[in-house]
Amino acid sequence: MAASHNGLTTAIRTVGLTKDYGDGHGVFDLDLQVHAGEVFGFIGPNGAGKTTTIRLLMDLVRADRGIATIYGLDSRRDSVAVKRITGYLPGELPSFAGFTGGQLLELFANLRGGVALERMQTLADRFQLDLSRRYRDYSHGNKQKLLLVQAFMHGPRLVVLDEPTLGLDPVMQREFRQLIRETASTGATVFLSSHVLSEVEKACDRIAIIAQGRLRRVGTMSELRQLSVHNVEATIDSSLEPSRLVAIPGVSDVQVENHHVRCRVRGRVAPLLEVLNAAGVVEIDSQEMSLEELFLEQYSQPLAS
Amino acid sequence: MSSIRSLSLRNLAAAWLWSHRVAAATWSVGVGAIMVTFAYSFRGMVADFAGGAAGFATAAQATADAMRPISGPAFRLDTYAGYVTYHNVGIWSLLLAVYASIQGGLALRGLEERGVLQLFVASSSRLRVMTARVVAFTSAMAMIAVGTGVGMGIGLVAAGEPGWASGFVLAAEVTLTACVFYALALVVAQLTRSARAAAGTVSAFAIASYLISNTYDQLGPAAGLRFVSPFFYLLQSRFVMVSGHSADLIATAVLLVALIAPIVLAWRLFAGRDIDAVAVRLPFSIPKSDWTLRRRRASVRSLWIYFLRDQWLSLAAWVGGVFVLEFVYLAIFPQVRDVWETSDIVKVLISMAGGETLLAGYLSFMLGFVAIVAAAFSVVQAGRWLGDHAAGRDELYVAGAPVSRLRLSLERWLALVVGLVIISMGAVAGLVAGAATAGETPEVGGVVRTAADVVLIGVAVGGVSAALAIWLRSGLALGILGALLALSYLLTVLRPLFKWPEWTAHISVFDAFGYPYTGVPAPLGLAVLAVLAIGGAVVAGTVAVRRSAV
Repeated sequence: MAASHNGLTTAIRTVGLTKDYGDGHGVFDLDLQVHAGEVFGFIGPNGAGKTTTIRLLMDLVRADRGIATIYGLDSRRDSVAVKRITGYLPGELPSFAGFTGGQLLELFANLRGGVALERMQTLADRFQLDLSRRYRDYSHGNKQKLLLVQAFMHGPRLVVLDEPTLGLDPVMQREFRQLIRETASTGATVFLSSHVLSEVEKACDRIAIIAQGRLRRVGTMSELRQLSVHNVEATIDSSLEPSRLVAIPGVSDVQVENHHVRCRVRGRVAPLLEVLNAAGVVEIDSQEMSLEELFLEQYSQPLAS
Repeated sequence: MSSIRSLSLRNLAAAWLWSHRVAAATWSVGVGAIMVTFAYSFRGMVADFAGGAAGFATAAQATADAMRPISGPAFRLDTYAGYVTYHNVGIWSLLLAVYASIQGGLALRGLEERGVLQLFVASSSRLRVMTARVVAFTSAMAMIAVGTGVGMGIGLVAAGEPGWASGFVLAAEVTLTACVFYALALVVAQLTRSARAAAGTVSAFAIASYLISNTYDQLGPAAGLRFVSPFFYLLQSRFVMVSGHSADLIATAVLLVALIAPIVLAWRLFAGRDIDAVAVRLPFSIPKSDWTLRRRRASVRSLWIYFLRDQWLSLAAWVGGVFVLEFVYLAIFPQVRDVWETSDIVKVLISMAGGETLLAGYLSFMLGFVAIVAAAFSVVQAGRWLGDHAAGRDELYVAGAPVSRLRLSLERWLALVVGLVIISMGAVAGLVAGAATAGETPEVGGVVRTAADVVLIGVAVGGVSAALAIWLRSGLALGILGALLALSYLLTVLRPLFKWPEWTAHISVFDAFGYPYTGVPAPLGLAVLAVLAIGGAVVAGTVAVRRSAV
């Protein structure tokens, strides 16, 4: 039975989940909680541990330590039961010779059982997928779409998608986002990985950032936006000691040359404005870093030992 | 300043030659060693035979005549050169041709299927890529020719016969013939959508043309077909090791033309077609596969059925192969019976096979070949399992079907057993059809025992295959399996010749198979096969469940 916390059902829970491939590769002490009905984005650069985490959740690789549960089911002990309620899109597309797209979907529908063929066809139509073509003749994008249909066709309670929009054109990406919103509206949970923040930003309720195998931050989009950073440039008509700026909480990267000031502010800007005002600010320009830049900056920070 | 350089022919050819290294070494050392071993065994046989070499040749000629469809014509069996040419060179040339056909299919189409050909042609010219593939393969074949040539040369010296260098000539002729099939497969692969289809088509042609070249004098009006068989031209130089014979230069020239012309044609087709497309479109259109909700195909609801359906064409080839094998053996029986009744060697074979009558002994001995086919099928299945893993299909079976890792192993196991049963039935059908043609009546109990034992040895080899494949997860598993089977078979052949202790025979799975047609195999042999089958399955299942990654 799924765990419940603060009235929210937990769809995915990991505690101390670790898979060490050596040389710093893998996933380490991952504590994560995804609520039922959430669209949860898991972002990080290449090699951050996104696919390893997903494969651990799906019991495709085994953890060195820690646990992972899906709706209260142990991902390893109840492996098949977990997969029955889950739709999965692998990060690497497998090859299948000799099958048309339709035959391949039908194969997995029959093996799984309980799949309404009408839903399969509807999903395929939605992605403008020609099921009469051979799978191996599909483009990368069409293979991706076919496997997306495979992941959604049985109406799963949880959908786990590894880089789902890879190879999809913008129209299909929009269709995909619409599909996951519809899926979430039925109470199902969507867990998707990506290395493109803007893509996750449009689709997800909450986001986790992983880098070097460790979870760096989890939050809603609005919470992450509170972490926003402004690059401030100002011209003042008097002198200003850089130490006065450095002393302001959240201010960093201070440069003062003649009457020109540059710095970076994380969080509230009011204290900085007070100091600049006292120094006789003549002109001020402030630019908020995009989440993409913020995201990149996050990765550039070394891990605390 | 940096410069962008395209991939050089030398680098490409060297890289691809490196990829052939294991196969080239296996062929060279394996066949070379067999050739040397036969020299010593031949000396032993002849020394012990009443009447010496001449007596041996007279006795062996009858067997050789009967085996002509399989081994080709026999000549000067009183010499090592003649004997090894009859006994080994024919089958070796056929196996090498099939191997070359597979490699020809894979050469370009295989790269396309893996999606890497476009990377190479983006960094180099198509001509360079194709040339590098051809150069790498032909270089590997040259290495095989040298390795086996050394083996045959040493064999000639060990047997005290002249012309040690002729071994190299024969090896060169055999590898040249194999290269012709490589070139043919290269052409066919331009016309098919899969490497497997090209390899299968040319392999089938290799087998058919081999049989035709060995039996053309019995084909009546169809005898002219021999001229389209590359093996016919090899046949003209086949006895080059026998003193007084030399290579037929005209036949060799024909083989060279048969090698170069398809390569040129393949190049023309490859240069003019799209990547991932066929070179020639059919003049008519085949209706597209009609997957709609209203017109659904018969459903596959189990993975084991899917595994079998996915390989129905190759399974049909396996069944067809054993059918033809057993049919031919039975069909030619009346023609050789009279000769065989006077042959000392046949009497030895019959006593080994335990038959009370000539037919029983003959059948018992010949059905042993089905055991080899069953064992080979199991090793090929291991190759498919490795392919499923490498292509990422395992992951989707486990997560998308969904099935447990243990269930996946069991489904594969079931597919293997059913495949073996189908092959066994194919052999029985060939046996029955051949017997009807020959006017003979096989013993029902013997046929049933053999069919069951064929499945058992196949499952036993399958057990070892499954354990090795899932443990090693690489082509090395197939190499080890092939070597184990080859050694296992050679043990049964060489032990009596070298008079090795009897216990050594029990190491071989083919000894464990026994002669089921003429009696229930020894309990120890059955136990060994059962332990390998069950033990291998248990090990494979356990490793599958416990290993870290699917």
